Amino acid sequence: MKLNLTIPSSRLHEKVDSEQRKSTCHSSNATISISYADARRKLLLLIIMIELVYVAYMLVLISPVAAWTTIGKKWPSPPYPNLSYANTCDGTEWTATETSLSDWENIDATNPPNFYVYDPDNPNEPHISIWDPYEPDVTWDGRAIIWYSGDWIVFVEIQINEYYTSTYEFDKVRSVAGHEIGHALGLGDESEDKAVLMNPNSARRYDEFGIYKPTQDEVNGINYLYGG
Amino acid sequence: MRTRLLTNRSLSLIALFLSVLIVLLSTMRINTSIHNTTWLEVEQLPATRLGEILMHTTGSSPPRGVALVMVSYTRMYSLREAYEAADLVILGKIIYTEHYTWNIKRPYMGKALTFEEPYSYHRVKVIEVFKGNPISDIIIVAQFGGLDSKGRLVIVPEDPPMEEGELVILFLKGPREKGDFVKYPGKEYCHMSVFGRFKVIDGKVYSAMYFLPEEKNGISCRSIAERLLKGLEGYREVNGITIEEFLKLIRS
Repeated sequence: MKLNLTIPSSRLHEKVDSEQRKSTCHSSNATISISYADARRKLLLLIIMIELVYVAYMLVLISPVAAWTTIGKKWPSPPYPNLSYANTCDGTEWTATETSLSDWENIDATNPPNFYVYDPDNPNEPHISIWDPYEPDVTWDGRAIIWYSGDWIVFVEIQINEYYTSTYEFDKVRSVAGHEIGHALGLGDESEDKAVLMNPNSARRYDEFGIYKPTQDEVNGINYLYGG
Repeated sequence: MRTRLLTNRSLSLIALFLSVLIVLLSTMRINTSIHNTTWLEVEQLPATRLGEILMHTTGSSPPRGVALVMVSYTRMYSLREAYEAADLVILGKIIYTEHYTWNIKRPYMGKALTFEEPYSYHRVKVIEVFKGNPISDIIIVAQFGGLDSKGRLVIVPEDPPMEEGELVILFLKGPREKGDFVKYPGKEYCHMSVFGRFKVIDGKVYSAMYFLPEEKNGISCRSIAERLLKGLEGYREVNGITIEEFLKLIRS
């Protein structure tokens, strides 16, 4: 099947290549024969290219790497998430926890969390209390106890198990503290084969993947919870 | 003449296939979003229970009713690794549970903050020993969580409090001499959480990814246990097997 077009010869050079011009030009006007099949082919190729780009985009969106979870609760807004904290840890646990709070404040989120030091004279309790019990033989090195009412988190207690963390290097303690602060903000656990802070297995999260502060996955989760 | 690898018909089919793929991926994206936000289906307690709990809360603080505990594990254990790491492995029956709340004061800026930690201290009658030597026929097993002194509830979703009357196989560490939550020095054990707790029902053994209730006090326990255990070797097989088969599995 052929499609016949007639266009002024002055614009001919813009439309066809020289080979086609040779075979189809006349004196004042030109009749160009473009294969309908060729046009269709080009259109299909264009559609396929657009679709491929879109598929790649969708694959990135649903990739397991971008698979943050939440606990189904979050801090009420306002303040979101503008939280007082009382850090009663000692030594490395104190420093690592403070560093980790700072890590979370500096994430590239639309509304990153803000943490401020709790005033002990305040009649209300802090939003987050942190301490470092010594508990041998258990399987945990950190845990977050999340008190909630309805859809809202009302108080979080973070425990860093000194029995283990006293043997950890600084960034591994930071990794544990950062993980628990993620829970305190409303993020859930991730699969243990993911290189993200919310991986619940310290041996894999830090020893294998080297993660000790929030990744883009956690930032996406915070954006989901607190705007973005 | 240049030969073409793909005819127009083939290209049309590819375009159509990609269109279908886009629709499928869009659906998956929606499902993923839903999954992300609800896999831990924490619900409010029934009104009566919540009311009872809120009665114990003080006026100036925000109301506190129930707490869930999210845990960072030092490592995760396959079934056999857990068995090898345990000091004592028993078949036993929970005959009595003592609820106890620790009130621990910590210095903070010249004052003190109090932390309340509810623990359950189970008395477990040892029926059979598979590894190690228990210090007596009835042992004490400490477990974090349960009711605190104000009637508030603390739950580790994958390891909710064991209940009186339960027949269990426990992988235990201890006895523990010291620690901030050791109530009975030299006499109490602790189990290896979700990696060392199995329930025996009608002579059959189940791992936590099978015996835990779908929902307990509004918290979905089984799905969280499943999420933790499903990638680890051994636990999937512990789904209604005999004790002999279980022993074969952990010792093989």
